Amino acid sequence: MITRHSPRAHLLVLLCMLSFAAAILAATAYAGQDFYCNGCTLSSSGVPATSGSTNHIANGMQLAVAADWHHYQYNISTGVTSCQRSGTNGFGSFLACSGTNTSSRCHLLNGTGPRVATCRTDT
Amino acid sequence: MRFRNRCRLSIMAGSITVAAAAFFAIQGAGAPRASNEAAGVGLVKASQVAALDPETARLAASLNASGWGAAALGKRLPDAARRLTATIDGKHLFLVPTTKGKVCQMLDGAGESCFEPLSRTHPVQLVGDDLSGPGGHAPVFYGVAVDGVRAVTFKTGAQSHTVEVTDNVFVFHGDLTTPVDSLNSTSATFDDGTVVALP
Repeated sequence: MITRHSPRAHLLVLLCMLSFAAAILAATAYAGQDFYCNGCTLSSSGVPATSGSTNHIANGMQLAVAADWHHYQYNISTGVTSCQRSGTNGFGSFLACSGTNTSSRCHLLNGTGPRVATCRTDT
Repeated sequence: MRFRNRCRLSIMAGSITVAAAAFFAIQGAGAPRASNEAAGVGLVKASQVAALDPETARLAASLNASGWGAAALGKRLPDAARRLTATIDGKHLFLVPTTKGKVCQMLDGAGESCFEPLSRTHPVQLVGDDLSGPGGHAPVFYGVAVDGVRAVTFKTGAQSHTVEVTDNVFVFHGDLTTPVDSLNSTSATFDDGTVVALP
């Protein structure tokens, strides 16, 4: 049997689907994680790994072997560094700190390294 | 009518998803743990009690659940957490040992940083924070020292700073020009005058 649906019915279905999608998005809004260095090797020259995402609620880095480290958020337009933490001879850090229009970055300090690292920013 | 039913079902499913997410988020947070028999974390023993505040417990549980730092740290052990009696700008500092013998230093609402347990040869752990960036609050440098350390000296760039240790904790407030990304040359001065430079 072929049933023809009215435009109103189609609209209703669309609204239902949007409602469901919105509910899922609401449930996962704080679960986004951007591993912008996932087992990468950070060099002793201090060149940072950089995230592609630009809005963040946290940033962190972890090292398999202790080193001097620094992670931060960097606004490319203004050159402003914010939400930063550094430490010496450690395995890294995790810091809840929000930033918009910035890239999250991580690198090694004081010529320590190279080190295998994971750097993650939450979006 | 069937479409309305489907719509109701979709909305119900969406609501259930949200409710389930909230439920598991709360469950995963864990409860504060205050009981443990540990004598201390590393050689930091003089000024601490067994405790972990709910927010920090939630963070530790969340980082454990996500596997953050697992390769080097294993899991954080909230049951064995210690709270230092001194505070940093009114915030409590916690030491949380891990299953691989490391220690994570967690400051109220400011995440964690992890390192080897402190010892006589590595008597200090130092972290620099600038949570607001230039033009905002000045950076803060703080950390933990083992029993018997009376002062910590370190450099930010070429400028040297010496700060007293009180109850195993030290803090230095920089100004808006103090760089956070150039910590170096850290050393600890013990009560007997011995100076130990960190590697």
